[in-house]
Amino acid sequence: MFSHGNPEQEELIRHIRRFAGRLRLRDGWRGMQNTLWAAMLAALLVQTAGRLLPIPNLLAWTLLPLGIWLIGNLLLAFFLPQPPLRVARRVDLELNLKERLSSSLAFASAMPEGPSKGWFMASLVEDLHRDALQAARQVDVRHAFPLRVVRRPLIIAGILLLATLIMAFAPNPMDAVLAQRAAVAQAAQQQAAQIEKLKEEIAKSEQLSPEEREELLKKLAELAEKLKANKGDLEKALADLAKLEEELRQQLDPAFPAQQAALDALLSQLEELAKQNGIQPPADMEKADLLEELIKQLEEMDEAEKEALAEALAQMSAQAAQAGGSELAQALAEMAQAAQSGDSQSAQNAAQKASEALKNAQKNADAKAAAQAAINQAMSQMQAGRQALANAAAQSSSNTQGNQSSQGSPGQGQNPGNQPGSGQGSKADTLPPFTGSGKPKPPTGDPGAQKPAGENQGEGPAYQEQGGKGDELFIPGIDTGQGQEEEKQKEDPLGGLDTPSLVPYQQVYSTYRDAASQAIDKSYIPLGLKDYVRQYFTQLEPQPSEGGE
Amino acid sequence: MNEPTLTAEEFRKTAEAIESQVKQVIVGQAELIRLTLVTLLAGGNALLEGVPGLGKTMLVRTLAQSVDCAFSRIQFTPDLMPADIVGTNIIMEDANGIRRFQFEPGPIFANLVLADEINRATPKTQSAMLEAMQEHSVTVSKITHRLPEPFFVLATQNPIEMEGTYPLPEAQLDRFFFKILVEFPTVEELVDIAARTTSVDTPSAQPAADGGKIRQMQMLARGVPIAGHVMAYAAHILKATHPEEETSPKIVREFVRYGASPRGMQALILAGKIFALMDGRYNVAFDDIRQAAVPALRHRILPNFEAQAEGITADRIIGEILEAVQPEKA
Repeated sequence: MFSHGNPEQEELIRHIRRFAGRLRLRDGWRGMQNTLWAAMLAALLVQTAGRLLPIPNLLAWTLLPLGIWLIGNLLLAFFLPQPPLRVARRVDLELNLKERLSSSLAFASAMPEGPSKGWFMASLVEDLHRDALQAARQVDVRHAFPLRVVRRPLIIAGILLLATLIMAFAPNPMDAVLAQRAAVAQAAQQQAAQIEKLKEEIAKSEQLSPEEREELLKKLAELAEKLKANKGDLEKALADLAKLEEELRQQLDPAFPAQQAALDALLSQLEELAKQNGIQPPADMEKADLLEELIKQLEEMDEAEKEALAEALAQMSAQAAQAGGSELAQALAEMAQAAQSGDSQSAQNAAQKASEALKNAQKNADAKAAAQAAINQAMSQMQAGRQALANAAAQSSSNTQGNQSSQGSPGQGQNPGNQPGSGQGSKADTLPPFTGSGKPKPPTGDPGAQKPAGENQGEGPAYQEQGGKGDELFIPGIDTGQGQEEEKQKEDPLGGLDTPSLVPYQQVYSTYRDAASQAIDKSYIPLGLKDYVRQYFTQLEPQPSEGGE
Repeated sequence: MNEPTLTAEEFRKTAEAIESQVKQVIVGQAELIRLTLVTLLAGGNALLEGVPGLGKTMLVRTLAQSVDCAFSRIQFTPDLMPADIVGTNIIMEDANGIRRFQFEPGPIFANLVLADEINRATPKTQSAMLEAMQEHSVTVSKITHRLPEPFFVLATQNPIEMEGTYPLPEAQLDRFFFKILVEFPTVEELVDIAARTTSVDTPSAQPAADGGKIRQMQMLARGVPIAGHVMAYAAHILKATHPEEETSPKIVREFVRYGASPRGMQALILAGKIFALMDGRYNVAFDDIRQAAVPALRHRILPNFEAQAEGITADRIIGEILEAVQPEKA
């Protein structure tokens, strides 16, 4: 009977360990063969999903099931617990040893102290151990547990591997989407940086009231955070920019341009009136002081001149009312009345009052213009950001297409946003054609020198120099309904270009039309403008009579 | 446990010799012979089911000759009384003219008893017989008389002539170690039977053992070690015969009214031990349990009415249980 230190028992345990090692090896080998197809199928599914959905690091995701399969099998093979009794039972069953090993192992520990003591004949138990040991000695593990190749699952795995490789190396349409996302994410980061710079400028600026500045800075900070967190979602980035832009637009005073224009006209009229009355003001004299100068000449005027002055002052009063300066209008009206009556003292008092009111109106207008300019600057930044994002998305898409197309012409990989009609393809980041007439804005570094924002509203694209570094940023105009509109029906798209076209127009047109269609399909253009773009390219379609020009 | 004087090897050789002697007389029916011998070595009793004329009586007689034991045959009939089996007290007058009761043993007082067509006797007579089978003793007039050892009853019943019979109740069927079906011989066996039994020299068996050796073999069989997982496997099989068990096969849940009793488990284990010894092993294997399952359980499983209507036998149910309960799960 076995006992601790019994050589027969130790020998049987050694045999069991030998069997266990071989079984681990064989089970691992068999398990890997039988489960490889599952890993390959998972890899194929990942590849398939990568063709339907944009999945970053697709190759790594494809290899992941294989890694899991390998690690899982190795863990199972080498770390799955295999108690000796279980191994003995497996060997008994596989080699048809009629439970010799497992029975011997069970009685090796159970007989001496176990509850079954006395149930069985000791001599038979000893015979059982000898019989089991004899059987264990005769087992050649290499032949008993051979490492066989299981063909069927391997063939299936091979087919799946082939399909996976084909899918992995074939062009993937989702690469363009991923490239676009990366480009959008990068552009969003850049825009976030630009907004941070703008924030710093606005923080230093005194144009806005502290409350307005605080609110604007807060909104810009939120937008910058959103853009930084954007992982390539073009729609979201554009929506974030558009939302802030709309909020800023609501802060603009729509009546301010008209008031400003009326005030300018009033000043011009005052200056003209002063000239008519022979007043040559010094260069450093404020225009408002001209009113007092005019009244000083009142006593020297005849009735007709007084009448004319009164009439001019009445008109100025009306303009002042239009400019929103009720106090100024009233003072001018009193001044006109005094001028007509010839009351010099009253006219003098009214002129002083009107002069003060005019100065206040000018001061207020300047402050408001500065504030509006700051808001406009932020809005311009939003617009530039949107444009930059759209350009980045379009450019990445066209680049990817150009890379994927093995037979594309050299121009096919260029930005579809090139202006049709130029035939040069010279600037890859220019906007689609804009029908307005833009005016360049002054550099942002000198906001005080900016013209009133109303000048640019409703007009075409304007170039803005960023920080004086010479970088040109293309900013589309804003249609507020207050600018001047100019409709050009059936305008010749080639008009204004006197350089000879190097590429036949037919070829250029088809390229641009395809690029525009693609851009429309991929939502780079706001929904409301898609029809305009389509219409534009329809109008550009070359007539049969046209040659290649 | 007392150590037997018999070794496992002697057990195997003796069993082979007895089988060999019986096979000299009984043509074919190898399984019947082996299962009958296993029942004898287990100290149990067997119920043979088969049509008349298949050599049941010859089998028991030959087996008795092979083990050199006393043999008796009781033909059960409806008018057979218990006293006709166990014996009775009769008045005897000695030389002095003194009369006294003296027990006259019945035919059950033999080592090997053939209870032919046991289902034809009344339940009262059957009960007396089955009590003797269980206790290995009979009580007449408050006096218990021990039956000779080894004591082995081989009862038969005819499956086709059921009219006027008293089918054995389940409780009494449970007392039989094995229920063995006697198959009809094949053509070759029939030819051999005819050749042997219609010639001048009728074959006969020679003693290969005696009662004492059979007793030693019975003791040795009970001492064979059986591992816990093998015993658990037998228990799983037995549990699977019960329809109320959730793990039982579908056929059991649908077509079994009652499952096997713990006596079935005892029969599985004991028969497994004897099969192991007869195979030259010192341990019980799963195959030994599986080999014993059908004869040990077929009369202990009670199919329901649906099973009888659809012709589903206990053997088929046990077969599906063995398919469902695999040794790996034990």
